[in-house]
Amino acid sequence: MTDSIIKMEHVDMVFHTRTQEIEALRDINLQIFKHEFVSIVGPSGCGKSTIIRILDDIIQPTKGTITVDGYTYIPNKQVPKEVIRKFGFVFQNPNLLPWMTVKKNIMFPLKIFHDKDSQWEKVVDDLLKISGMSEYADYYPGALSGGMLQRVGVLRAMSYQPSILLMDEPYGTLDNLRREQLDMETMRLWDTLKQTIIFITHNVAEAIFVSDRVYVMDTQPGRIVEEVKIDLPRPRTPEVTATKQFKEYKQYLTSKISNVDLNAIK
Amino acid sequence: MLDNDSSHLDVNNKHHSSISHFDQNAELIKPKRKSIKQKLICDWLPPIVVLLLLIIGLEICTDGLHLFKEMVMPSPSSILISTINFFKLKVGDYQSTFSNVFIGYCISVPLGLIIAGLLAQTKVLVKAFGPLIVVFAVTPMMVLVPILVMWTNFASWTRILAVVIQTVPIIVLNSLAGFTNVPAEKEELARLYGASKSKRFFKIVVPQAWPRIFTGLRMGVVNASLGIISTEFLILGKGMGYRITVACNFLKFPLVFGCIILVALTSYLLMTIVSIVEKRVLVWKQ
Repeated sequence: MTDSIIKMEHVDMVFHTRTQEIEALRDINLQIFKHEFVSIVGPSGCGKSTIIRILDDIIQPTKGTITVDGYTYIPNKQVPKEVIRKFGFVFQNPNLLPWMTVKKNIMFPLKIFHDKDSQWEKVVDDLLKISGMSEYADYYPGALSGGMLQRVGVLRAMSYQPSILLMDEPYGTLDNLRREQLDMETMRLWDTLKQTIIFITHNVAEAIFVSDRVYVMDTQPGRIVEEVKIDLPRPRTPEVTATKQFKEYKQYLTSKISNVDLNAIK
Repeated sequence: MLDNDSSHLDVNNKHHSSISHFDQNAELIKPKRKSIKQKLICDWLPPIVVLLLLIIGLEICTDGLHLFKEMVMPSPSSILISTINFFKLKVGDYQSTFSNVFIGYCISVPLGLIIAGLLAQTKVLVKAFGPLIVVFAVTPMMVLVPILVMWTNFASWTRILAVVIQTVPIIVLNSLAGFTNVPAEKEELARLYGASKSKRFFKIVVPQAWPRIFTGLRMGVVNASLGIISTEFLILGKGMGYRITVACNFLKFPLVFGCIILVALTSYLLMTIVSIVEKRVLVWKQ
């Protein structure tokens, strides 16, 4: 756990709209180690999603340095594909392509990356198998429900075996029961595939439940206000949320967010 | 490394199968399919009943009660008889009109899609040509027919040309709307995986545009019929438009109505064919 796989130093992000400048991120410093499960928690609009979009080169930061696995991003230059391939990205809404079957959706990144190896097809089949989705491989997304779609979204991000998984509030729209199940499934996959995960959520309890470490963010401007190491034993089950230690973490983290979204701490 | 992983995965599969079982039963939304009997009663019966009532009502009002003169509204039975008698002798007009529609449409579809596809490659082109295409699409192209006739000197392909200029703009307009209105999240997906320009276009832009493209194709069928009939009103010699004009001049009103109904029914049939193709292509869209 000594070498960091991701390092963000003094990253600023300013969005320009027609009428004003919006300071989305101010002086973000992050360090994430190999095979770590890190959450970024904060209220809506604090720039959580912006951070992982910067990491995945979907948007470019205004200032600051980013290093991923030894490669330092160069401003105004596309990050090489080898680095991009280290990332798997799970969208908040599953963002599947409705005209492709579940399996084709999962294979979509491989198609774009020019991987047509039969070996990959096996990997995709295996992924479908472990998540118990094999029999839905030929379904179109329109026939599946929200929870299933999001699982397909996760599988798509894993299809090319990235070493880092960026998850943007993946289960934010699901009910508590389903979210807990999928959180557990995510932890299990993480444990099996030895990835590094950055997990974005507005739900403090969820962040504590899944993470090794939690960054707490606040709004206006989006900034990191606290970093907490979560010392709860693994593997974790929903029972852990009832422990005293868990509740203390929750209280502490919640107190760090000034304008707390009431729904988020329920 | 791959094999290692998959063996891991298999071991874990058993362990967690309970979760997936739960999902399988609860989360799948199965599309309901109507049986043929249900379809017959729910979908087809009501329009057939309306049509039959209309025909019977008209028949009573005309031949039964003699409310209208024949030149205002001929009776359905006389329309049917005169039309059948006429087309038993001459099917050339019908053939000519709709073979021209077919040829013109078959030229228009690829032409329209290619033009829209090329324009969609650059934002500047869309901005530059967009208004022009809208103007073309909203102008009834039949105003150009007299000029076309002069240019082509009554050549037989004037009719096909008329179909093409009436059909292409509406296909271009709708396809272009599809190509340029890609949802931001889908664009993000392309950027995420660093898709090349051509991959972005063929894997994301085109598939998501299909519904809009088909709207254009359906409207294109309507416009193709419109184009040909209006041309045949002006270029005499053959075609349903010509036949209507002649029948009018000779006061054969049942035949006029018969021709109109034939044109309407055939256009309806053509549009239904496009709709069936659409349903086949867009299976994912329920």
